[in-house]
This record gives sequence, structure tokens and C-alpha cells, in this order.
Amino acid sequence: MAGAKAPAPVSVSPNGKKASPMVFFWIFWVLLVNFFFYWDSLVTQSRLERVMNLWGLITN
Amino acid sequence: MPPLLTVMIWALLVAVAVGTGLLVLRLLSIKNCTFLEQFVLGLACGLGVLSFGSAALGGVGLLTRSWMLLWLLVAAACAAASYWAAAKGRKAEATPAPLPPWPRKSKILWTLYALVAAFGVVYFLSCLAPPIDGDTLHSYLHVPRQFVDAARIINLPYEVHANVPLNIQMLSAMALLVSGDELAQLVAGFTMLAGCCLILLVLGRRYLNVHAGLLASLLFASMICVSSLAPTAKVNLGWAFFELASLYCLARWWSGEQLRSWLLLAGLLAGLALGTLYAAAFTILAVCFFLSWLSFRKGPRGLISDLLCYCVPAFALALPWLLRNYLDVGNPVYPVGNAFLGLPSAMPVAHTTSVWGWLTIAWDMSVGYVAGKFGKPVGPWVLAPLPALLLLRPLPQFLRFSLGLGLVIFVLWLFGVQRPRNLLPALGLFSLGSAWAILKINLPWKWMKKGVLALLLLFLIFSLSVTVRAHLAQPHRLAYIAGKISRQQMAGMMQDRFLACPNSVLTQYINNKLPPGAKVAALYLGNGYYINKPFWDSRMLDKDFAHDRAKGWKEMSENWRRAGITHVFVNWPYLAKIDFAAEKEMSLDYGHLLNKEFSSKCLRPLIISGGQELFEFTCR
Repeated sequence: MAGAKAPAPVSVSPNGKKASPMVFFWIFWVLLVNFFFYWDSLVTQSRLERVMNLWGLITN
Repeated sequence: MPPLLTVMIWALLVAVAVGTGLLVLRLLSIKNCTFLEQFVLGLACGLGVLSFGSAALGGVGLLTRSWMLLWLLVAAACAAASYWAAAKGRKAEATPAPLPPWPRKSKILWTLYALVAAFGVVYFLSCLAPPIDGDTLHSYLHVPRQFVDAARIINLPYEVHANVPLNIQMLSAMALLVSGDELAQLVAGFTMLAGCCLILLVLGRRYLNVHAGLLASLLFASMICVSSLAPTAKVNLGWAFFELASLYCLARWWSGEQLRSWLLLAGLLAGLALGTLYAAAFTILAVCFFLSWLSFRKGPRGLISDLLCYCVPAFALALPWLLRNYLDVGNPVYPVGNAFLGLPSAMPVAHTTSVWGWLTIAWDMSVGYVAGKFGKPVGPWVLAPLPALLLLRPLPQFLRFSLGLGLVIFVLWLFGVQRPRNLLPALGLFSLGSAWAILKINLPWKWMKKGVLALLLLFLIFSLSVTVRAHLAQPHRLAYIAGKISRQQMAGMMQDRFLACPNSVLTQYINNKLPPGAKVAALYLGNGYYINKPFWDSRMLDKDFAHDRAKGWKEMSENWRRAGITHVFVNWPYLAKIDFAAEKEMSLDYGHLLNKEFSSKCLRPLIISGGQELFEFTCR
């Protein structure tokens, strides 16, 4: 139909520029920090070292 | 004093500070500023002038209410003249607006305004009750109160934080004389936080955009470590305000104007910061490094002249405190570097000393406490969004400047006290970066952007709730602010609830029943702000706060006798909470106190209430 806009492909952001795939890593990172912040505040005091220790337990 | 009257005095004091500060800006020929920029720079300079006035009165033994009011009257006259001159000047030469106009109202702008207002109201109200924060009662108000009692700045050899830079404590002394401790909290806590937020806003507006400035202010104010500082008389927010104001002036100098007056003002504000907290030296060092790099192309003469223009005022303004420390304790930067001067040394509070720890400390302070329980969290939105800046091209030049400077300060901070509150100016710069990253990151779907903003909103609401719960939503506090209960009732109720504080019964007993010359040794506890007699933390009676040096009870009682101790205060429930097994050295004095020979020979019980006990010290 004349004048109708074609739907934007998913990799194009609302402002029309192409979004870098790296933003998914950034989103994941922000979610991770938020998760551990609330975990620490509401459940226990956690540290990255504990995560690393857990990784050590898995790999050993 | 009724809270409403305190608020009115505070507003008047802010007006006097801004007016006096405007006079300083006029003397330095600082021009081309918006109204908000003039206001916030005037506030920083004016508070510095008021602090120096208070210190000068203390230095000559005139730290009394009448002399303080006279000084404030002089400052008010200067402020009035400055306002008049500013109004006249504006009429005479209407300068064009140097910046684009404020953006039109939008949904996001209204949300930001509402959140800033919510934080502002909560912080403001939480300052309007008598202080109960441990450090405030132990040092930050206890020291100025003793100056006020003596009507001069005195040597306090048994106070742990009496020989440090005292700019903010002198503002607190002024507040104590004019109104009381609630005004001290409003000045040292709320006003300084508001100053930090305004500086971030004007930086954002000038170099990024208004939204970024507002969001950065919000991120800064919502840090958990900041929420524990705002309703107190601690010095960190004052230090951060002076430093951020100094960095703003540096940015103005750097961003093309190259006027010496900006560099000079940056140096003066850095001097106020150094006269507040030693950690300012890290920023001064980082700025010197930055100046050397920038001014290198000007040749040796230009380089040296720029460095002198910044460094000389910075050190000149901190010099009075450094000199006082040298005369009192033999170390101008006491207790830093004590070990080199044969004085009792104490290691700075550290979270880590390993390289791995240096790499993970940013994560640690984002998700939880650092340096044991000393460093409260920064939260997940000041540092975590920064990697997004790698995806944003081109990055504004100002952000590259501020993040580079922040990074150098961060690296230097690793060698100092590793608590987030000792990193506040750099965290302010990082919050500008994070705000820019959050607003500008290019996400593929709209719902993703909304999701990120919802997550941020969740944190802001969480932080606000924590602040309300910790500092405001307590029945007795609200009743006091509403004028339903008296200050005595309020202070008594709070003292009884706060474990690390003499309760109301013991406070009344010490204040009213002990003879005028009484001096109390408080075991491992010096929260003596509400006590009108010398009330010294027992750890300082051997003048070595970090270590209990006495080998036996006789040596300990000799230390106490030498300090003129007449009574001993023991808070048994508080002592039971300390993990003496972990703090081996701290357990020594406690062990001596429990020695039956010592208690039978040297202690005569006087009163016990709520697990707190007062003894007469008989081995005098």
C-alpha cells in the first residue's frame, strides 16, 4: 500500500541505526550485576571470589 | 530548636554562602556562567569562606555564639552587596545564554524530576532529627562540640579524629553555635550532597545533555554508600562537593576557555577539598598529571606556570590544618605515614592488596560491602553500565577527559582507604559516564530499552526504600520532626535503641551527677557527643588507636591515670558483639578489665542500666 512503512528488521534499533550484537553481552552483564546486588542485599553477602570458587569446584 | 526554625536558618545560611561565594567569583573574574552554575560555584566558595571564618574564630579563641553571629552578619552584608552588584550587572550587560535552552518537558524529564525530588525530600527530612550515626557521635560532631565548649580550637590528644583536616567540622561548629546539630547535618550532609548533584547536573548540561546530568545526579544520590552519609555530619560529601566543583572549573579551563581564573578557582576548591579529607591529594596528583600532559606543548614556562596556578592555592588552603597537625602531633598529615615518624601507625582500611583484588574490587563494591563491613555498596548502576561506552562512537571529548581522570583517581585510591565513600568524586564522574551509556546505548528492540529503564527504576525505588527505612520511617523520628515529642525525649529514645551509644539513663547520670572535672574512659566506644564531659574511647588512651599496647592491667591503669581518667564506662552488650577472637590485639584491654584484681582494686561500681555500667576509677 502506498505510504505504508515496511517493518524494521530486528537488528535495527528504533532510531534506525544498526545495533551492535555486543549490546546483548552488555544487557547480560547489567542483569548479572543487578542479580548479584539484590542477592547480596536481600539474601547474603556474596563476592565474585565465591563465584570463582564455585567455578574452581566445578573444574576440579 | 523546632525543625521549621532550623530549616529557615539553613535557607538563610545557604543564601549567605552563595552570596559570599559570588563575591569570590567576581574577584576572580569568573564569567560566562548560567544561573545554576553561578549558584553552585558560589555555594562551594561561600561554604569554604564560612568554614575559614569559623576556623579563624576558633584559632583566636572567639568561637562563641555572639562572635559567630557577628561574623555571619559581616558575611551576610557581603552577600547582600554581591547580590546587588549581580542584579545591577545583569541589567547593565545582558549576556547571551551560553548554552542551548533547557529541553522541553517530556515524560522522561518529569520522571527524573520526580525521582530527584523524592530523594531530596527524604534526605532533607532525615537530617531534621538529632544525630545517632556512630562516626558522627564519635568524631565528626564530638570534636567540633568540644571546640565550641572551649570557645577555641584546642588540642584533643585523646580524640582519634581531632588531628585531621577539619574544614567540615568547622562548618559543623558554626552550625552548633547558630542552631544545633540538626543544622550541622543539613549543612555537612544534605547541602553537600545537593551540591554534588548540582555539579553533576551542570557538567552534564554543559558537556553532554540535561537528561544525562539529571540521571547522573540521581545515580550518585541513590548509591547506598551515599544514603548512609547524607543524614549525618560526616565529611565525605563535603569533600566530594569541593572536588567535583574543582573538576568542573578544570573542565571549563580545559574545554577551550584556557582562562587562568578557572585554573586558579580549581586550585582553590581543590584546597578546600584537601582541607577536608587527605584523599583529595589523590585527585590533586591525578590533575597535576593531567595538567602536565595538557600544558606540555606550552613549553616549560607554560607548564610550570599552569601547575603553580593550580597547586599553590590548593596547598595554601590546606596549610593551616597541616601546620596545626605538625605542631600538635609532629606529623602534618597525621596519621598518614606515622610509621616513618616513629608515631603509632595504623594501616588504612583495605579490601584487598592483591592484583586480582584490584581487578575485582569494582564488581565487589557494585554488588555488596567491601573492606569488611566498612564500605557500603555503590549499587549496580554507577560502574556496571560503563562498558557500553565502548560501543558508543564518537564518545564526547568531555567523557574521555572525565573517565580518564576518574580512572587515575581510582588507581591511586587503591593505595588509600578502600571504602567507596573515599572515592566519591571519581564515582560522580563515573555516574556521568553511566548515565550517558544508559541513555545512548543502541538497543535493537524498544522493549529492551524499556526493560533496562524498568530495572534502573527498580533499583532507584529499592534504594529510596532502604533510605526511608534506615533514616526516616521510625515513629520517634517522625514524631520529633512533626513536633510531637521534645528533643530530650527523641534523643533518649534513639540512644536507647542504638547499641553503640550510652543509653539515656547513663547519659543523664554522667551529665548531671559526676563532678565537673570528671573524665570518662569508655571501653572501645567513644560515642560521647551527648555527654558534656570528656568521654574518651579507651583505645586512644595509649594514643595508639589501632593497637592495645598495655601488657597488663597495671600498665593500662597507668595510661588511664596519666590521661586523668576518673570514671570508666562499660557497655557490656556492645562488648559482647565484638568478635575479640578475630581482633586479637583489641582483646587486651578487655581482658585486663575482666581481671578480678584490677576490678577489685581500681573499679567501684556506681550505676548499671540496660547492660551499661559506670565505675569510679579508684587507681588515680
